[in-house]
Amino acid sequence: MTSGGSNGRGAALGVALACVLGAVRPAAAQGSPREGPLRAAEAAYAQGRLAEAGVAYEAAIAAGRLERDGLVRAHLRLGLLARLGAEDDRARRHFVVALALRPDVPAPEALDAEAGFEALRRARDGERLRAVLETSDPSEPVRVDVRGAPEGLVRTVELSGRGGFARRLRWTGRPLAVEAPAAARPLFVRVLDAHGNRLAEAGTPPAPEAPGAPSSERPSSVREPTAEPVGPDDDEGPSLIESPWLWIAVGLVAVGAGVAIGVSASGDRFVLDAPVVR
Amino acid sequence: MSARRGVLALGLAVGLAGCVSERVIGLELRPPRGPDGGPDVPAALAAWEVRLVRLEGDEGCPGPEASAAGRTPRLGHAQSFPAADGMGVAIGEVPPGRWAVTALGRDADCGVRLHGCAELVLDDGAPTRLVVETSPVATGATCGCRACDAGVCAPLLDVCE
Repeated sequence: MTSGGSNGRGAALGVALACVLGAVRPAAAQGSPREGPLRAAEAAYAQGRLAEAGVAYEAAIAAGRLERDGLVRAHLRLGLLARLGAEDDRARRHFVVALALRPDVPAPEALDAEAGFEALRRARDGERLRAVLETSDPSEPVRVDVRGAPEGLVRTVELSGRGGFARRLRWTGRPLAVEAPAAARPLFVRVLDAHGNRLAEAGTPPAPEAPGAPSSERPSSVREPTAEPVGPDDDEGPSLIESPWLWIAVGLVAVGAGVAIGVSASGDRFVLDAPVVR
Repeated sequence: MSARRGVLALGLAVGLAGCVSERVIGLELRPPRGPDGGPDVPAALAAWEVRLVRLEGDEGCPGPEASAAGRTPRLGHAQSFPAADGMGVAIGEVPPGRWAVTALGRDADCGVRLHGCAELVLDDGAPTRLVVETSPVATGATCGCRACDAGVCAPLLDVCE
């Protein structure tokens, strides 16, 4: 049994996370970073305010800024909370989304959910939600497909490429054929849910423009497609965007935030042992 | 400079990963005591049923009638094990909050012979062991909306209106 209070540790974690974010990108520590709403939900869950946590997880998803790990975690928690409310259909829908995003995600051990979760995992047979981009023949339209998606989850497909090429398409469940100029290739496709959360990606992300290129070569009216609101954090200068260290740092922040979220969410994990008659 | 910051972030992240702790709580069902101080379990007892129910607001433990008949919403877990076995299976991870742990000793007809309930608060002050003291009860309630099968109300996880 631990002696430290979870509130104290939570505060320490908050400070540590702020340090992690601040060490790389000070502005991010002050604003509402991508996983901010999720952290609020995790805190409520960890403190046993489950009704509040459920609302907060829904809000985190609705904010449309979750990366895959955060999205998986939110759906797992919502599945557990739904199960606690005896809403089995709703629980199953959340669990299926989590499994589609990460087929090897560990089963929730709480509240007898493990057996049902494993049954869902077997039913999906390891199928992962993935984007498929077929661009083999430059003279043919690009073919975009989404496979392994639970019904109704995918709403939008974004296709982007060089020279500011960008298409935002509504997903109807059937493969899409998109006319894309040869100069736009290689292409990149991103699959989003109804809120703009990123579900899957394929292809080659557009590279930053070469340093020193005249700004007039970038059409100002075309932005890389995004489902997120453009906030202050998106106003990076070109020199920072071009820096490979930025992307390394962003990756490290994502890892750090993920670990911190996991730790703060778990805090103390309470495990009830087998009942013994004595 | 950026590389150093990245390494710092990674170091902090790895350091944070070591903070996870698991708190295992032992669960003991305690029948009435006999003259010799040992457990005085009715001979007719066929099975034990353990139910974990989430409590909200100022709710307290559900009574024997409600527990026996499965009229306990927010049921988090339920299990039954033969009285002869003396122990059930691990319940596993339970979210923080207030919970009621109910123990029912049933005879072969699912009549309740023993009942006990203890409140469990999972927070910083959570105990390492929870004892559920049971005592004889006389309730006509059996399984509620469920069916009795040799001392076990099935489906065990069903919640009755």
